[in-house]
Order: sequence, then structure tokens, then C-alpha cells
Amino acid sequence: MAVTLANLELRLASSSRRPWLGFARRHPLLVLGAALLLVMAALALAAPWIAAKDPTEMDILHRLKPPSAEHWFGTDALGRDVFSRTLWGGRVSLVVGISVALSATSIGVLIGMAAGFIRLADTLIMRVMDGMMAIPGILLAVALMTLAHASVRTVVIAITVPEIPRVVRLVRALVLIIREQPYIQAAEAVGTRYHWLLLRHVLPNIVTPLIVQATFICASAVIFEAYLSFLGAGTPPEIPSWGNMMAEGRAVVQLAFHIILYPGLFLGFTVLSINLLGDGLRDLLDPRIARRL
Amino acid sequence: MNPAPLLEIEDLKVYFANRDGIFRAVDGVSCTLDPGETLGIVGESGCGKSVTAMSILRLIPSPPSVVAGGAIRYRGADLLQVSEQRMREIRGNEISMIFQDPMTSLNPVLTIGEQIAETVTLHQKLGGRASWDRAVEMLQLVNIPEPVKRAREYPHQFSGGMRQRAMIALALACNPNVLIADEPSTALDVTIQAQILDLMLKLKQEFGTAIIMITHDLGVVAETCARVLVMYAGRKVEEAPVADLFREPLHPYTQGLLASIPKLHTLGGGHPGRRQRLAEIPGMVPSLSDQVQGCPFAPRCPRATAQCREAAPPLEPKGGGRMVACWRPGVDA
Amino acid sequence: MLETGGGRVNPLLEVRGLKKHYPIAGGWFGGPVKQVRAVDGISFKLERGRTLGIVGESGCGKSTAAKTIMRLIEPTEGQVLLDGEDITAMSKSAFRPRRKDVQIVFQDPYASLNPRMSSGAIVAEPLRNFGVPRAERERRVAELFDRVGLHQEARGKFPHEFSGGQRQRLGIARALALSPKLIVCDEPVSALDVSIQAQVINLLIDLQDELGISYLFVAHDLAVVQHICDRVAVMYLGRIVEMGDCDTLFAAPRHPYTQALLSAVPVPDPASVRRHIILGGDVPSPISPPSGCHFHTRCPYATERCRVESPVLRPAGNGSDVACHLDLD
Repeated sequence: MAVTLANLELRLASSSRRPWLGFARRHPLLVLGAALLLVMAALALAAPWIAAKDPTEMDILHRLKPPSAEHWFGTDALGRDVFSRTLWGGRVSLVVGISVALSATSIGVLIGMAAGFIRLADTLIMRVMDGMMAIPGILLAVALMTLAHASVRTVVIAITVPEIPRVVRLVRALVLIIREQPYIQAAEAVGTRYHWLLLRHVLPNIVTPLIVQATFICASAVIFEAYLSFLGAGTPPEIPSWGNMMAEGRAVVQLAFHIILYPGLFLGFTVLSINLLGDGLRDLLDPRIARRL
Repeated sequence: MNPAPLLEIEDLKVYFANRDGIFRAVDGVSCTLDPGETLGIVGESGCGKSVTAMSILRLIPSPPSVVAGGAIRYRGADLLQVSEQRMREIRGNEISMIFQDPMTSLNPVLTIGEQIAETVTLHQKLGGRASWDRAVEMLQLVNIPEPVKRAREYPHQFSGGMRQRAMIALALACNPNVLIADEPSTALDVTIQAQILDLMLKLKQEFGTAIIMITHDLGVVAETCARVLVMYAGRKVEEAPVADLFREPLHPYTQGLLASIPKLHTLGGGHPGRRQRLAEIPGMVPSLSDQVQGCPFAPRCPRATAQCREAAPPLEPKGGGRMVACWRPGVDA
Repeated sequence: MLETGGGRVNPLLEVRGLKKHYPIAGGWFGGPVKQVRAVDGISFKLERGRTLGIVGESGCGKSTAAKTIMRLIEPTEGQVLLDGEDITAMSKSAFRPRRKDVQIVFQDPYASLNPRMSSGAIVAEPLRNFGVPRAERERRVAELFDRVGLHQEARGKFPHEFSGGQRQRLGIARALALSPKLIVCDEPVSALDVSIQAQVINLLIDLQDELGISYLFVAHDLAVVQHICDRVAVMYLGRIVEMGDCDTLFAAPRHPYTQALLSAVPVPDPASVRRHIILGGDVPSPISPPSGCHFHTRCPYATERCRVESPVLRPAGNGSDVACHLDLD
């Protein structure tokens, strides 16, 4: 359709009349991602109420049953209800995802700012980060898990550690740019002390890319947790997790495909929704794209 | 005596749309360019001079921009209506453009010689060897020392002034009829600026290219242009031969502008107005999204009357090639 | 030319042999191989309530010099005396209270304000840093906004909501907050529209008349410098090549570079016919400046001596100081 003044005026008018529609049209990925994530989160949170069956209750007589009215997603090798296990597994994934995102980001910000500002610390810190990044994340996480008793908390720690270098690199790069900005020199010229400089001048200006990065870390952490549990090095087997469900289902995949299918689907959708949210946020927070008609 | 104009811009209107509204970047501008003439378009940021120039070559992406009216006639055809194919034939070949920032206007991964040769090959259908020779010839023409060696170098190996000269070489390689120069010397040091402007005028003499010089610097206009257009808030407010404009500006904006610039005094006897307050134009340039009723300069004009605020004055010819859009032009009305 | 008054009074600012060299890493183990001699030994004095302009083209080191003088950049060598006291010898923490006396206005009105801080907070920051209590801060910020011509309601707004000229006024308000004796103006109007430049220049002139502040005015626009300055120093590749009284220097420049610079400025008067001295070549890089007199590669009068020996800044007879081997009229 040719671009004419009339068309643009129409779009402008409609976007101001119904702002939500305009918003959705401009940021389809963000809206889709957010909506999907909300659904997944709602399902996970509401697990105690929606999932009538106890996820750990075994019923050997009814093992490996396909989906039915009684068991919506069927049963697994020990007769447990896959539906409720899937929903409860979602809680683990979300808890891990969010906790890792928050802790990796906060720790990374502190280290990154130190690296960006203190030249001597920079070399040391970055070499350590390089070392950490050289080790494949999974191996590092598995190694950390072996040091401690398996629980959701240790899983969070084990996944946070390999994610930290990513944040540090980003923060350091941002700090190096911001450091050269005249407003930092201006603050120095008026006698601002270092800690206030970091808190009030640097930090607020790196928040935007950090938020986007945090969502990607969350998605990555969710997958990570599934890997670890799949390998048996993650969440302890008593706690249902998509990863260990899929690990258990691997042995009987030919008989009972549904045991892998449902957790896999949920995992896929959750990670997809978080990534869409991240992409959408990045566009939203970019001032040029945000003000497009 | 009066040859047919080369380029005619008729009532051009270019608007931009984003969530905050519709911005009338160019709101009804008309002008003509004769063969071989140097026309200056002068104004401050936001007045629409760059948008006007870029619209000639249809370089502004649409959306967010839209041409809401008007025509740009070149050799009889309306450039706003011709096919993209025809536009590609015109760009770089019949109408060329040079930009303000030579650092970002040249492709960093191609050598200068390659970039110039590319346009020659494209438009003049010359073979590899012939285009390369032409490229070296152009570099020589713009006074770049050791052109053969330099043609093999990359933009980052050139200094700012040399890059701008390379851009001029690139723009003139196919001997275009019109050269649009968008703030060509603004980013350069003053001694380099003098070199570049000098070069442009020399080349113009040699090739007979018509130049549209877009700038905010009235000094540059005075030294290079024959005729000047003053733009304000997307409209043309005054047009005149350059000597007339500086000697006797008619529009209050032009008058205000000329009065507010500190002038360099180099002929002994000191600077009479030193440390006196400069004549200011109060207020700010209006936001382009407001629908303006009346003259857009009225809020800042020392002579504004009720009539000025109600109705926008039309452009009135004043003889001798002069035009003003003002209800009360001149020294005292 | 210079007022000295009855008794001997210290100049407000005295710079002696100031140098700033940046090492460029290279060679084995990244040890420094070359130096960028951004500022290569400059000396001058500035009296109270007066304005000294520093002009030059890109790469001449004027901005670096301005920032080094106020220790936003640490000098490599040389001394800076503020009111007779050597501020280069102090430690950073000892110098901090002295920052109240010398402030700066930056070139870029957009980048010199923190986009995430309200304008009131930006102007209040200097006061906050030096322990001014809240009520007093509020009062002072209100006063500053008035003085620079900004509305009180604007205190809650963020920088992106202001125009270029208004942002520069904010920068000036911030610089005034601590009642400095000297304000370094680093190209304060270059990034502004022509009609706004006049407003800001007028503001600076008014403030100097009212408050007796001295300005170190760094600029490349010679017309603006001539308008606002008492004395001017012309820099080329890190050195001062000519310095003197504004009127004298502009009317009768002695150094070939100053002559070329003045002749190159486009004048908004088509009727004026001036001889353009077109300098050949480009501005050499400060990394490997030419030997001897830095300007000899572009100088129409260069001699053998100019190539070998670096000229010293010395009085030229008309009141200016010139660094040139030749005696030019």
C-alpha cells in the first residue's frame, strides 16, 4: 500500500484512540512473549489447585498409561501423573530461571563496574572471566553440583556461576563507554565522589541493556536446569523437573512417548516466550524503534 | 539570457509521522536552479533544508516520511513520480550529492579508487581499466597528492579534509549537472574548509555544474553562492541574490540572524562592538508538530502584529529576483 | 592592556610549561613506544574578571589543555597556579575542595547532562557534594535557574525535554553553583544554532559583568572569540604560536598560522574582498609532529632554520608574544 499522508494520519489517529492496539501492532513479539509467559507462569503457580493428583504419588498398576480422562498427560514409569508433574516441574524451572537471572545480574554488575572503573582490577578480573568462559558451562555446573548436596538452591548457584562472565563483559563494556561521557567528567568537576558517581551516574544508565540481558539469562538458565536434571546432576529426583522427567522417559520412549513430549513442549514454550519477551523489550527500550508509528 | 531552469521544486511538502504526531519538515517550498548557478539554502537546525535536498534524490525512507504534495521537476520529469530505475540512473550520474560527515559517507571496506571506479562503471559503462584511470584522474583533479598511490588506500587512511575531497571526486566523477552539497565544510577545520570551498568553486567553473549549497553558516553562503534561500520552520521566508540579501535583508528572521552573528573584524582599529550584547532572537524554533496558524516566525518577531498571528503571509516578489514571505518586510513597515 | 592595579596582585590563573603526553602502547609487551604530545609546553596568565581565548583547529590540544588545567586530566609536566597556589602538586583529595573555584561548561549540551537525572538534581549536585543543607540547596537552585533564564517549573524535567540552548544554560547553572572564580568554557556555543549562540554568549557576558568571573574560553570560531575575549592564545599542535591582546592580534597577526587562520574564516559579507591564504596540506598528527617549528610543513615562509629549531614564544614588539623565527609584518 502506497505511503500517503492519509494513511499515516489514520494510523496515528487509531493508535491514539486505542493505545493498546497500537502497542500490540508495534511490538508484536513483546506482546506474544509476555502473554505466553504469563500463561506458563500461571499454570505453574496454580499447580497445587489445577493438578488434582499428587505428583509424587506412585501407582505401579497404572504405569506407562497413555493420556486419558483420568490422567490428562498419561502416567510415567512409576505410575505418577505426568500432568501434575509437568505443572510442578514448571515451578522449579521458573524459580531457577528467575533466581539465576537476578543473582547473576547483581553479582555481574558489581564485578563489571569494578572492572570498568579500576584499571588494575580490570586485567585481573577479565582474565578470571576468560578462564571461566573457557570451561563449558555445563561442565562447570556439573562440577559445582558435585561439591554440594543436590537441591534447588545448589542448582541455582551452579547455574549462576557460569552466567556471571556474560554479565560482567556487558557491564564492563557499557561502563567503559559511559566513563568517557562528558556528564561523568562534569560530575567529577563538581566534586562528586566515586561511590556516588557509580550509583547515580553510571548505574541508571546501564539498566536498560541489563534488563534485556537478564531475560536472556533467565531463558538460558531454564534450559540449563533441564540439561542438568537430564544428566542427573540437577534437581534431586524426588522433585519433579522437566529435565529429570525427560531423562526417565528416555528409556521408555518407544512405549510411552508422552512422558517426554509434554515436559519437552512446556520447556520449549517457556523458553520461547522468555526469548520473545527479551527481544521485544530490547525493541521497546530502543528509543528509535519505540516511537515508530 | 534566461535559460530553462535545470531543477524546479514546486510547493514541496514532506512530512514525518511517528507516535508523537505528524512533523511538517518541509511545508510548501518552491525554488528553481539554473544551469551552472550556485544556489544557497540557509537555515538553522530543523528548518527543513536537508530534507528538501535529500528529497530531490528521494533518499528519505518512506515511511516514516511521506511526500504530502508538490513536485520536483528535472528535465521535464517529476522526480517524485519517476521509477526507482530512473532514479538510480540519475543519482551519482546527473545529480550528485556530498554529505556533511566524510567519515561515515565513505564505505570503510572499499578503497577510494574502487568506490569512484564503481560509479563510473555503473553509469558510463566503462570497463575495469578505464574506470580505474578515471578514478585516479578525479583524485588528481581534487588535488590529492600521489593519486595513484592514494587510490589504493582506504578511507581511514585519509584525513578529514582529504576524505571530503575524495567525496567531491566521487560526486563529480560522472560529470553531473547538479551537485547537492549538504553542509560540506561544517565538520572541517576552518583552514581545511577554505581549501574545500575553494576547490568546489574551481571545479564548478571548469565543469559548469550547478551547485545547491546547504549550510547554516552565512559566511560560507556569502563566499560561494550567487542566490540564497532562507528557510524557517519548513518554509521559505526569503530569497534574493546574495549581495542584496546581506546588504538589505527584508525578512525579520534574516535580519535577526545577520544581527546576531558576531562578525570577525580584521581591519585594525579594534572591534567596536566587542563585549557588547549581541542582538538576540528571543525564544526557540517552533516544534514542527504544531499546526501553525499565521506566520511561523510571529512568536519571535519584533514587528509581529495581529495579522501576522492570524494568517501566514504568502511569498511576494519584490523585483530583482527577490521574494519575501512577510506582512511587514523591510527596515520599517 | 593589562590592569595591574596599585599593589602586586597574583593573576587568578598562571600556567607554566604545562604538558600532557599520552603514551601509545606498542612494541613488545605493550610498553609505550610513542607519545601523543597533546599539550607540549604552554604558559600563560589570566587576570581576575578577564577572558582569555584559546583558539586552534582540531588536534591542537586546546580542549586537552583546558581540562588539564582543572585536573580533569592529570598533567604530565608543568604547573598550574590558582590564586598563587600550585594545584598540580596537590593530591587529588587535597585538591577537591579547590574545585569550587574552577568549573567547566562543556561543548556538547546533550552529552554533558546525565539523561537519568532531573535538571534540578543536576544543578544541585555540586552543592550536595560540598555539604550544603537541603533547604539552602533548594533556594540556591531556584536562584540559579532564574539567573540563567530557565523556568522554575523546569526543575523536575529531564534533559531530553529541553532544547539545545536550554541544556547549555543548565550546564552554565551547574557551573555557577559553587560560585567559582574561573569558568573554563570548552567550545560552549559550537554545538548550538546560530540564533541560540547569541543568547548564550550574551548570558556569559552578563554573568561576567555581574559576578566578575574569569573565563578561559576555548573555541575554534574566531568571530565569537574576538567578541568575548580580552586576550587570545593561538595553539597549533600542542604549542602556543601567538598570544596577545585581542584587538592587536586580530588586526595585525604576526605568526603565519594566525594570518592563515584569520584569512580562512568565511565572512558573511559578499562585498568584502579578502585575500585567502590557502594553506597546503593537512594538519599533521600530534603523534609524530614535524621537527623544529611544528608549522614549517605548511608555512609559506619556512626556512631551513624553521625545520631544525623550535621557536620560543617571545614578545614581538606590538605587545603580543609570537613563536616564530621570522620577523613578519
